[in-house]
Amino acid sequence: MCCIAAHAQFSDVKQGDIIDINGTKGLVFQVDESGSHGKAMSIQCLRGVKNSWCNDKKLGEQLPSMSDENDGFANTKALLDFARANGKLSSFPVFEWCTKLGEGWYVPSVKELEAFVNYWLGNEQTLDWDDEEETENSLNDDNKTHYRQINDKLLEAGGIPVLNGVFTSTVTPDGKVYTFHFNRANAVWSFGKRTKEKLNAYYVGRAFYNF
Amino acid sequence: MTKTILLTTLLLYSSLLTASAQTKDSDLEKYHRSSLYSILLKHPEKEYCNEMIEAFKSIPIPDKYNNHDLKIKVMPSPIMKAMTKEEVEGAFKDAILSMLERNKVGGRLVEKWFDRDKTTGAFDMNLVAERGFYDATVLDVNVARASARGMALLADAGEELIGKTYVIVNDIRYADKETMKTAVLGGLLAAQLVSSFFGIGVDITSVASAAAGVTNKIAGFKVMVTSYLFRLDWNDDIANNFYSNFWMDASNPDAGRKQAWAAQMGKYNLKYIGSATVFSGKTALGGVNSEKDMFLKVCTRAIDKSISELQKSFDEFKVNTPLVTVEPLTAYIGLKEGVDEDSRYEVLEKVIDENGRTTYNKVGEVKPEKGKIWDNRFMASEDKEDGSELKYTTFKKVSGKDFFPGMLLREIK
Repeated sequence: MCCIAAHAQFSDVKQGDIIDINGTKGLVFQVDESGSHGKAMSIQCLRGVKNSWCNDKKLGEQLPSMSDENDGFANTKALLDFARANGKLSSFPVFEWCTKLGEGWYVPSVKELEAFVNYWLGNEQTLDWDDEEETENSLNDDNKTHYRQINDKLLEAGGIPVLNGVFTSTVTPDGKVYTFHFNRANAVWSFGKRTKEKLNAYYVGRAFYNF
Repeated sequence: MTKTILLTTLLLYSSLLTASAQTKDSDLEKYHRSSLYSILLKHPEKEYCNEMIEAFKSIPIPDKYNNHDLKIKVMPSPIMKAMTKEEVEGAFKDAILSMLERNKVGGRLVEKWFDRDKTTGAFDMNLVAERGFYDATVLDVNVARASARGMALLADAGEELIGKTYVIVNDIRYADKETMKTAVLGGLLAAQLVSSFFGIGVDITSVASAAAGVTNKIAGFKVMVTSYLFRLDWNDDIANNFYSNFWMDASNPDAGRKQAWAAQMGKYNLKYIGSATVFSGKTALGGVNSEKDMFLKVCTRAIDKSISELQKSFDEFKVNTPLVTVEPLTAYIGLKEGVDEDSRYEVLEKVIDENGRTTYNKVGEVKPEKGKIWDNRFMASEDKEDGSELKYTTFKKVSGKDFFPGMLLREIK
């Protein structure tokens, strides 16, 4: 595991690296060929907080548009601007938590979270064909799924593994939040839409960072 | 002038059944086979995953194909988004293709054909010559490309061998009730199979006679296999591009070409042909002395059955097999290859023109003789199945004139 301390300037970063972004650790799940730019997910999450997406139903009904499926940063900025304008940042605990992680952290959009999920599940894995240590047929015999390996990495770095539900910052026109759900027993996953209240019962908040 | 090569004219003596059987069989084996790379998708959190991986690794590539296996035989299964039954097969196939492309499997298959040296980047034609029974000296690429005959041989190798390189990705799942229900909902299996699945208990009589090492649960072990078939995309244009831009042999090392290949090998594609799903059903316990034997027997038979289904469904994947004798008409295929009383085979005469290009002319049709179909399925003799005592399947002529040993049989619909 690579652990790099820097100030949002990175080089030679690879998928799966844990990077230190101004004191907050993130797991890199997307990176360009230069190894300098990509996306990371915070190794911590927000859980155990009641109504962690929104705890003010009335305010929750007045939100600005947060329907961007690709840009969680834009959704998050829209909400933060709205919450600050109303002096109610604490009504949106997960977004407030993001601000405490440092500048640039945001609640992911549905497509950004999907990209992470595909990485986490190993759907984008490239196998090591050049590993001279491996003998024929022995590769990939590790009986751990990719997502368990990633969870181990998160734990090792002092973080919290991704277990099941995660919510996003993408909100449908009728006010529902996109959420990720993984059915381990059948090994299938899906995105659903849930009302903002009671999300904390099954879903946690994760923060992403673009570097 | 076209020179017709009846492989068997060299072998006529063999039909007298007096010559060495070994010599006869080795000569009969000189026909072009498709090449096959067989992969298993693993589901680490599913029951019996390890056992199935171990069994899969013991299953050889069927002898009707050239073994074109690469280093990695087991790959993690993509984990799919929940979908409707209409979407699921297509999306899973796309995910597998994406996995193969991401891992540059097409380029790796080409590397294997031309025996690429990882250090120098040099290729050679040894495997092509060996599998194509070509004269290796004529197949010097740089020389061959300068002559009509050489070009014809390269084209023949492309069409007959490299263009018939297949990848089968096998998704083997322990057939618990949930898997079977999902398969039916996904349209992969007929509903009546599920009712038979729920209806089939463990045969207590056979369990009682099984070795002590086989528990009741394992004795009832069943799997469902979906095999996805892909073919290496290789044609004259792709071949010309390869020989022009990447080919170099050990005598002419070229760092530029080595680098170019490394950059471009990911662009060699695989084309999806289709899939087949089979259910192993109940497996008899003959010859099963341990749980390991049971996993091997069930998985081997299921994969053989799946390959046979793919052969029936997709003409290009059908295998050729030589006639071994003509009085009676016999060939080394049987139940494992899906031969049944309704099967029909065309008899093909291999023709090689003056430049070395291979074509096949149909000279007749044959069908299996009732009661003389060889049960060559894995461990059939241990089960004492009807036909397992045979060593070949006997056919009778439906049409055509003279047949000779070495002529090829290919199943027709």
